[in-house]
Amino acid sequence: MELDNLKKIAESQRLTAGEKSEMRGAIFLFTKSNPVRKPAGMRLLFKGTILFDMVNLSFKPTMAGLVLFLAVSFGTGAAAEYSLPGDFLYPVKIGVNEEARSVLSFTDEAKAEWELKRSDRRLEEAEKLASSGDFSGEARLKVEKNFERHAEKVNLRISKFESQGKTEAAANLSSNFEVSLKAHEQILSKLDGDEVDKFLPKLRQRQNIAAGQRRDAESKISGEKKADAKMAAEGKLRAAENKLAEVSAMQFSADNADGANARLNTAESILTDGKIKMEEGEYGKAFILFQSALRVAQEAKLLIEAESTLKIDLGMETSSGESGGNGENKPQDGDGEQETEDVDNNAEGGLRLRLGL
Amino acid sequence: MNDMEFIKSYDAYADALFRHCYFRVYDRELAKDLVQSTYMRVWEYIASGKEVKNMRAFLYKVAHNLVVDEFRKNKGPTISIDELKERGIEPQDGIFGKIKNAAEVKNLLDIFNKLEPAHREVVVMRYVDEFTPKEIAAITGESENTVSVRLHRAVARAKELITK
Repeated sequence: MELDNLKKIAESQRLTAGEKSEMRGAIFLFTKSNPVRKPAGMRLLFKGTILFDMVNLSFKPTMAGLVLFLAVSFGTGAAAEYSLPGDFLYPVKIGVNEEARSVLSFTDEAKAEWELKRSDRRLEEAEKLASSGDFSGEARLKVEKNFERHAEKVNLRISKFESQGKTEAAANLSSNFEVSLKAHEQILSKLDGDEVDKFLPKLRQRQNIAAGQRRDAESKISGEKKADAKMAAEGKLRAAENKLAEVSAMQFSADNADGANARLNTAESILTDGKIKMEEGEYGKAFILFQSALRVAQEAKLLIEAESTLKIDLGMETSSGESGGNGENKPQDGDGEQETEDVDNNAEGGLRLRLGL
Repeated sequence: MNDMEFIKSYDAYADALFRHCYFRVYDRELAKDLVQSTYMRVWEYIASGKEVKNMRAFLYKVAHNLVVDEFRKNKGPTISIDELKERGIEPQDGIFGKIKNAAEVKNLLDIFNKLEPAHREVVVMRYVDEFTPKEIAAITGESENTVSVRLHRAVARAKELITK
């Protein structure tokens, strides 16, 4: 067999028509749920009905495709994406759009990530409502109920991964979940309101569970065979480096360059500690440090995003609460920079960061 | 690029991307997830206001990165033909039904399977996706020279496996 024949042979491998149209529906919905960035006010704008140019869409309506088609037709699905608890279209958002996405995730890992994202979305809704003073008792109960439901599913997925021996997947998911909850806890804490105060304990409780699950998974990885732990650590190193690069780029483009530097420095310092452990052959410890660095960077990302969408000043503390062995925060290197007003010293002499929004 | 143009790019490249992912990870469900994630990532990029000049190359670049991440997470694919059969990938029927020469398909799977991931990567890109070494270099972020050398070695190794 000549290698030149590979293509011909490989071409027999393709998506079935059903698979292709289901995925097409999911991607189409995704583009509608994540429109090209437009200015604020979108939610109001989309409360009406918008006819999309559906003409070019040749759906082969499988069941899921049909649901999607109905949901997305006439803009209802996309409009619902901007809705908040209490809005007319909110049930479409969580009952149709999000359920459709759940159906269209194929692997357990993807399903778990989507469940995490849904928990995230509930918390973002709470934040949006709280920041505009609309977080009523009724809205709180709605958000709380759904948040608990998604969080429970994420916790269960983590346990399931553990029991299936997918330790790395368990570590990834629990770590991601933990940092998401942690960031939202910080954001919500900055928003006043009795209902917020009532909600926060639930959030903290889940955060503790996730942190516990994360530590369990990490200790299992430390106990793995050396080659496996090494592989896990290498993967995590790459993920952490990517995240750091992403957050650095994000700050730059958002003109927040000085804002989260302390956090990034912490992350980098933890990363360096991890690399040292790697060289020493302590792969389990390296993995834990890389995960920690990843969380610090991700937390910075979530906080920067929240400042931008909620238009609030979170006054990000320099300490993220992550410890990275001998990692010391490198000093701010902002002399002569025009954004120095974004950084001021608080009473304790520690840096308080404002992200200039 | 608007969403309709984006969906057209799905129609144009989804099968080829799926094939690319499939031959690299040997897991149909995972390959589907990778394709879907690729399109979602690329759309996020576009939705953030950035421009994509060469859609096909960009899609492969994102897919390649996702595959690499997947290998790091899951330690790469090493599956025996028996396992492939267990997963419902039976060379003689189903998805390979159109191929008359089942032995040839078996050989192909077997050879791909025996190549190490880095070699498989370049062979898939060169002979299945039909990229030039220069294009492969752009996708993987390596130099054209590195790719050419690796391709040369991979082909030699594949031929060695064929004649075995």
